[in-house]
Order: sequence, then C-alpha cells, then structure tokens
Amino acid sequence: MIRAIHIFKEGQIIFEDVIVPTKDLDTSAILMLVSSSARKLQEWKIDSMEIERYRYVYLNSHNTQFIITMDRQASPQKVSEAMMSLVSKFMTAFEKIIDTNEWKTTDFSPFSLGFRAVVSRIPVKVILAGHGGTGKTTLLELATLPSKGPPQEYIPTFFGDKALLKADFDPYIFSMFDLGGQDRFVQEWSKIIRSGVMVVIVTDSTQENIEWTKRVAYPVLKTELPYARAIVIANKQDLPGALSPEEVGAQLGVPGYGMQANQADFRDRWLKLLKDLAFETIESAVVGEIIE
Amino acid sequence: MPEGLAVLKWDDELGPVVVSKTPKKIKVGLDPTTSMRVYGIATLGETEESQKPGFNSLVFPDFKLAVYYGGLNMHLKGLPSMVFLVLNPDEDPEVYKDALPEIATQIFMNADDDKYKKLVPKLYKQIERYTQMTPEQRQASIINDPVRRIIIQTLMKQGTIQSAELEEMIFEEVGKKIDVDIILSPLVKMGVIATGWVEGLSSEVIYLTRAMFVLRKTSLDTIKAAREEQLPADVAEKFLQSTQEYHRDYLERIRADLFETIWSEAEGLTKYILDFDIYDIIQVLRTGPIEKERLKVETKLEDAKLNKHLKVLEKANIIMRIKDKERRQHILLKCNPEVITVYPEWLIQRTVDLYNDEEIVSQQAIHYLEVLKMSHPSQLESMELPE
Repeated sequence: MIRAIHIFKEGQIIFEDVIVPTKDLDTSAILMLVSSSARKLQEWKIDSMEIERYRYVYLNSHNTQFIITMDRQASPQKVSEAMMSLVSKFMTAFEKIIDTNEWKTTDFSPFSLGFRAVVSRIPVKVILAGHGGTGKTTLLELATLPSKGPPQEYIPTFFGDKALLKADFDPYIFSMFDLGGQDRFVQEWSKIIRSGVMVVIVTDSTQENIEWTKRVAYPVLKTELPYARAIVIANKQDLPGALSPEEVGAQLGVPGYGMQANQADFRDRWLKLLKDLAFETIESAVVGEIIE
Repeated sequence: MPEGLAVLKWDDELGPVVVSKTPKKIKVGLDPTTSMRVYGIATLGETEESQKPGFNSLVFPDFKLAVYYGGLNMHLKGLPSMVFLVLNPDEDPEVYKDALPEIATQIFMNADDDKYKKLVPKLYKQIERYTQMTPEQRQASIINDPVRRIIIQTLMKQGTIQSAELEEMIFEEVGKKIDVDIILSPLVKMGVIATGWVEGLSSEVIYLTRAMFVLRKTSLDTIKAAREEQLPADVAEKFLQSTQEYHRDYLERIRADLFETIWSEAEGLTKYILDFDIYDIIQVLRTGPIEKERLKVETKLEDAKLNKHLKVLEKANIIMRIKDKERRQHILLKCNPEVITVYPEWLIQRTVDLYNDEEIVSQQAIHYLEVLKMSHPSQLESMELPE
C-alpha cells in the first residue's frame, strides 16, 4: 500500500501527497535522511530503506529525489514499477522546468492526479483469517456481493477465495483474501498471505475460538505478516453468550469490533471498518507486536 | 474441441491472475474462486522445494478443467505457472494428459517478455491435433525441441548425467532456469530415459535407455514398386537412379560423421513430421508411389496447399515429382524421414571406460550398467512405445 510521495530538490520538498500519514515516527527527519541517500544514487536507479513497519522506495533523476512511502509488508516490486511510471510521468510534464530555476516558482500540485491514479492500480491486500465457521466468507460476500445477500448456510471454504473490492476507499482498491479456516488449510496460509497489508482476524466471539486463534492462527500470521495492521472482528454478536468485542479484543491483544455478518444492514459498518483500517483512523495493532 | 485455453500466474496482491486467454471472450472456468481452488489443489501439502509440476483434471457442474501446474519454484515467481484448458461437461480431461504438459512447457519456456502471449491462440488450435498425434509424432516433437534435443545428444554420448549438471546445461542453452522435471517428463514416459537416486549424490541421475534420432531411410515400398514395373519405365528409371545416388551420398556422410549427419538436420526433418498436412502426405507416400491427383484425394488437401507442401518436400530431398510421357505427375518418396529408437549398446563399453578412467562417479556407473542390463531388449517383452 502506497502511503505518500515526496519529491525533493536541493533539500526542499517541492511536491508531496500524503494519503495515509506515517504515525509513530519523526517523518520529516526520516525523509531528509532518505532524500540524502537518494541524492547519491545513480540516475534512474531504485533503492529502498526499511524503518519500522514502513518502506521508503527512492529514485534520483535530474537531481530530483522521488520518495514513495509504503507499507513494509506490501510487495516492493510493484511499487518499484510504479515509481518508474511516476517519475516518467513527472518528467514528461516538468522536465524543462526541473532543469532550470523555474521549479522554485512552479506549482506541482496537478501531479497529485497522476500519483493517485498509479496508487489505485496496486490493490491493497486484505487477509480474512480465522477458524472455519466464524464468518470469513460471509464477510467477503457481504462486502463484494451485496446483491447476493449474505450466505445463510455454512459451506467450508476449500483452500481460499478472493475478490476485488472497489468502494469508497479512493484511491485504494482492496484485494480481499478469505483463507480456508479448516485446520488442514491453516498450514497452506503462507502460500496465500504474502504481501498482506491488513489482517482482519475473524472470530465467532466464543472463548474456544479465541484460544484456537491464539494457538493456531497467530503463529502463522506473526511469522508471515509481522508488519501488517490487524483488527479483530467479534462476529456473531447476535448469538447468546457471545463475548463482547472489547473482551474478544482484549484477550487477543488486538482492538476488537462487533459484527453480525449475516445481516445485510451491517455492510456499511463493515466497509467503514475496512476504510478506517486502511486510513488508520481506528485503533489497530501491528501483527508482530501483538501481546496476547 | 476445448472451449478455451488460459494462462495464469500467481500475483501476490491478486492471487491467480489470467494473463492470457483464447478465445478472448471466454469467462467460464476462469473466475477468481475457481482459480484459487485449482491453485489450492495443485499446491496442497507441498512446499516450494517439494512441489513437482503436474497435471490435474477437475469436474465442475457446468464445465471441466484440465490443468497443468508448473510448480511453486522460485523461478516461476511473477511468471506464468498454470495453464487451464476449459472443457465442456461432455469432454474427458484425461484425453489432454499428454498434450497439455507439452503446450504448457512451450508457454513456460517463452515466458520472458510475454512472448508466450502470441503463442496461446496458435497452441489452442494445435491442442486438438496434439491429442491425435501418432507415437512417431510425439517422438518427433521431442527431437524438435532444442532443449530436449541437446539432452538426448548429450546422453547418446555419455549415457548418464546428474540432474544438477543438466540444469546448468539447460541454463547455458536457453539463458534461464527451467524446471528439469517438466523437460524430462515426456522422455521418461516414452521410455527413452530413466531417472534414479544414487547413494552419495546430491541430485537425481538421468540415464539413457533408448537412443532416439531421425534418419533418412530408403523407402523400400517405393523402390519395390519401381522395380516391379508398377510405374512407367521412364519414371521408375529416373527415380531409382536419383534415390540410389542420394542414399550413396547419405551413407558416405554417415560413415564420415554419424553424429553430425544425424543431428544437423534433425530439427528440419522433425518439423515435417510435426506438420499434420505434410505428415499426411508422407504417410501416404510411405505405402508407395502415387499420382498427384490421387494424392490430392487421399490427403484431402486443396491444390495450392498440396503444391506448396510438395515443393517444400522436394527441396528437402524427401520426395520426387516426375511426369510421365502422358504428363501425369507421379509423387515418390526419395527418402523416408523416420524417427528411430535403438538400444544404446555402445554405451556399455563407454560407461566401463568412463568408470576405469574415473571420469564418472563409480556408483553412478554401476547403477547405469544395471539400468542398461534391465532395459536390454532381451529383458523386455516389447519395446513398443505407449500410444
């Protein structure tokens, strides 16, 4: 997931577009550090630097430094390709300006459109993880197949499923992966979840399921996606004896949110949760830092 | 006829993605849920190290799939790794068990720079005919393949090679890493090679059990027809003189350098065997000489196409076109391009020499001699290749 772009010239930021800010870090100090590394790079060579859960991909062209901030867990290859495309676009529009002093007085803000168009071409990978029967497929279909209506019958998912989700998440689109939750499929998760940026841990809000999640799901998620952001869905809140979202969240060490995925009117809440997780406007946890 | 052919790759963000398909409008069998399931079936319980390429057939309510999966290996990352043949519910996917791996291998070998995308429509048209290939055509397709040709050439010289060495050799030839299992699989099926593990060696060992090459044989039926006056005298005389001269030269070339003579034109000759129209012509001519008009009826080829193929075959010294006094054109097989397999007897002494000179690991040499013993014609009831 690409979060931001910063373009530096002679130590100054001449353009920036921040979609999701990097919290918990001294961003301006880091960007200065990265831009000074970028300045030493050969023309059109791409390099990257990893700090905490972020990756800074940078390139130097025409003595101008381009820095893309992305989630460390996402695939760097596509972002590198995006970088080449972005810099080409930028140079096509501003090459003459950037090579003269004119850049000091130029408004580069129209470049935002081009930047966000490129961002929208790289889907943000969302992982729905949890035991069989907790409602992962129901959540997938609730989000991606609203006209079908949530499934009322439980059919175990073989291996996994996937679907693209385009909603009010501009400039992002989500690539949703529903993992087969039967025990025999958990060992297969590592083949599917690589590059997952957001993890939605789905539970049926029972004590037994919480224990399973900690014992079986957490080891795989922590190994494969240590830098991904996670929330817990405390599903099946309508069932008698369901633990509260706060209780589920507290026991799993991840902020919990209540849900009734088999009810179509929960769709808006579900989409809002996904959006808030992507834009980091709700509480979430970093998978590798989860303390049970 | 299959409903379509599609190539898929694994994309970390998107999962299995269709990167090329034909016909363009085909959707059935290629939805995300199905492709994830197929990926799951192909990889279930396997790791990157343990995964082997393989064929799967799947039955769904509205369609069937024949799938060839290239493996989870690192070198397939970001490249095509699955080939789907979409079939209607009445078709049997097992029919494509031999053809699909061949088609898929051609796609995987042309993965760089998306070259395979141009091949897909052509391969789709060919797949039906692939299933109708004769055993000889299947052998010819092996010899026609540059990588497999080099493997056979190498094994005909030294008899055995370790898989790791072979991988390096393939890399040098094609400039990229290709899964050895994909390459060797049809050779094993045909009984041309055997593979096995030898104690102390870190990679599998490959052994030649039948040498395979293409030869220009004399067409005995054609010569017999000419000698037994089944042809006008002037035609027979011209043919016999020409074919005799040609084969005398050919034999001299073989005596001077057997290896060079055989392999220098292997690709060209197998190309004719693999072309279904040309192969039909050769098949008819193998039974004896024929007048052109009759050949047209037998092969069901249009005039222009037949003429074009005959011209090509004449230029390649495979046929002769001779007109008799009544201006009737006779078509005769000057030499018969035929795929031959023989027991590699010469490799027994060769292996003993390599063993004595310590140029081969002793266990590997001993194992190969055992393989040669087991595959000796006297030990086998029949050397017929599988249909």
